[in-house]
Amino acid sequence: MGPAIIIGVVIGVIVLIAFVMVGMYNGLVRSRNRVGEAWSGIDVQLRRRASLIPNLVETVKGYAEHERETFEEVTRARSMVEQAGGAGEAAGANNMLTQALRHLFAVAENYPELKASTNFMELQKELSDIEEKIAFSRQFYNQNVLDYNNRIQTFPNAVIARNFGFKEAEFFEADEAGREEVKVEFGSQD
Amino acid sequence: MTQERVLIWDRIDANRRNSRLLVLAFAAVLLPVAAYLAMYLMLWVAMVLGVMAAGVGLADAVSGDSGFIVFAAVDGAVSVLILLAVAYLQFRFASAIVLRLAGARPVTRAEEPELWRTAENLCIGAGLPQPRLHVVESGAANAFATGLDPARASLVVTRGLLGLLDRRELEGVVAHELAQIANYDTRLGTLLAVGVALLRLPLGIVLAIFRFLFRIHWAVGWGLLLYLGLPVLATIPFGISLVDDMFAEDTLAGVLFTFAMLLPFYIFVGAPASAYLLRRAVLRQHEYLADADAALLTRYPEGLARALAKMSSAGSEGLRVAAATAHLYVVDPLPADALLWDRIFSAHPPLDQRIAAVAAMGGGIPPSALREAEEAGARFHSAAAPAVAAPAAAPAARYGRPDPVEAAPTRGAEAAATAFRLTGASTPLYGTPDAASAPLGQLASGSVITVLEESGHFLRVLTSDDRFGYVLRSAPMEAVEQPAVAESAFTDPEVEVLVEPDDRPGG
Repeated sequence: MGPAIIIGVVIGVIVLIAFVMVGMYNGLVRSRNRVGEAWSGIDVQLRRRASLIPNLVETVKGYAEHERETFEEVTRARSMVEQAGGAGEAAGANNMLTQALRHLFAVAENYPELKASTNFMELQKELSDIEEKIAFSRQFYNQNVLDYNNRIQTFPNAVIARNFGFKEAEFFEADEAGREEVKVEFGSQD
Repeated sequence: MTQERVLIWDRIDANRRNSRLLVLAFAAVLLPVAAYLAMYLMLWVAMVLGVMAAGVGLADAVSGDSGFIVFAAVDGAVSVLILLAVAYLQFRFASAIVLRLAGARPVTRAEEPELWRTAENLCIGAGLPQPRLHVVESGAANAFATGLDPARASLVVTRGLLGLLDRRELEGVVAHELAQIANYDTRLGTLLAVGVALLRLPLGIVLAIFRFLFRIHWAVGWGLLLYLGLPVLATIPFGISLVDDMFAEDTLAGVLFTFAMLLPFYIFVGAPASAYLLRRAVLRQHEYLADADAALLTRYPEGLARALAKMSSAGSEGLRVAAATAHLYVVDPLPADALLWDRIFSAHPPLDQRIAAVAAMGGGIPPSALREAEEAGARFHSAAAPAVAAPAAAPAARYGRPDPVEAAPTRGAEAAATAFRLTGASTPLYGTPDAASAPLGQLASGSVITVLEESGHFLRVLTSDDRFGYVLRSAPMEAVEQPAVAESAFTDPEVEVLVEPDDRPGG
């Protein structure tokens, strides 16, 4: 075999490897973009909920002025969600807001007039719908994060990822307590 | 539970590849048919042209060997054109054709808020754009999806399904359809449906003609059959010897002649058969995979398992199904007495195996839940023909008697005998006995209706808020318990009715 052929083969192999690397890089970029898009799905739902909360607080205040602590808890949690940076922080803040809202609705149980008001009932329905949507978008987001993290951690993509600055994405965890089914208590009904 | 993702990219790629192969296979299957049609077209054209050419003196140019080559070339070109046109139409209108065949009506969010919400939430979970939602106004419980890609997909459920399943079971079924949309199963399925429908056409036309003739008189049908069939049978030995001779003379001519002779059989029988086999080979696996994906998406396999159990015992009677689209439905919609020809190639895996597969996912499902679901489906099935006949007889008998009691209490006694409580989540009330019309409104679960008369698939009813309308006979409902007061002198024809105003019960 002449030296020209050897050089040709070597160049061919290098070109092939280059193509493969480009393919891997593009795959990582696509995966990262999917994660970003999935995150914006969660973000949309969080914003919708945040926009409903002032209305809800006002409605409840109209009937139950003295439940100051609960209102403050909710408002505080809401601003924390808005200020959160990154998925992990937002997840924690989201869980706190969910808890705060649950307190608020539990408190509202003691005010039958409030429960009967159409405004409150509609808000309640919309909020429960948004909670479900948040759950589904969280599921989708976490799946994409899993895929992305798997890619950047496994060989051979790991090589490219490390050299081009691909970082792991955070999961949007649900609260352990939040995942449990709400238990119905029969003892404390009026 | 496996760690697979909902949108498995390799499966989507496999489906895309299979779709392309399928279209090619269909083109190959369809080519002889197109060539046959083109040949007839060309014969006509050749005759006309030949007459014209003879008139102008160009007869020599269109006959002989060169003429034959020209003829074959033009035939080939025309058949390719026909094929391209068919392929284009198939792609463009596949979805619309399937929806039309099923009788699906698009629904807005205002008409079906629960369905919309379920679909919306599941689409968020799957990362899919929301498909268009349709409803088929039929009492049977089934669903399907159609469309060439997720952005142009449509999801169809029947009215009966909405009445039969609860929220979590409906989620399971919708998730199954979304999984099929996402994996491009529906693309495959829709193209198949249109292709199969197309290939069934020649045979269907011939069968329809013969059915019509047989209906006129059995002698007419048999006469035509024998008239056409016997010569064909008689020419077979003649044809074989002819082909033999032609092969001896000129191989190419022999091949072409054989091809032309076998072509009709291929068109009427061979092509549809190959289409069915193609379909069956490809689709069976997809059902299992779609079930698995649905369980993964909802994180609640019990919902889908219960839904499948209910749907299996509820059956799909009364559903208008084109056999070519049968494979698209969640559960096999063809009745047990459909042609073996249609049933064999419907490509659905056996339901109990599917339920077992889904039930094995996650933490398992208690068999009692499945049994309850099956019973609920069986109840739904029998409720599809509610015993309206018995109560309907009673009012008629009552009209025959001289009845000194005033109209209002009579109406009350009637209501007790023919009243039903609607058990479906939401039952449409129509202004006319036509399921394709827009309903006057939706009756909530628990509303009581009085049945006034039957009218085909519908019951003419009076609602509790004094509206007249029509309700589907198959809408889920239960007879209201007749209060003891109805078992009074009013209903017994033997007792002489001497009623004082003060003696009226409840008066």
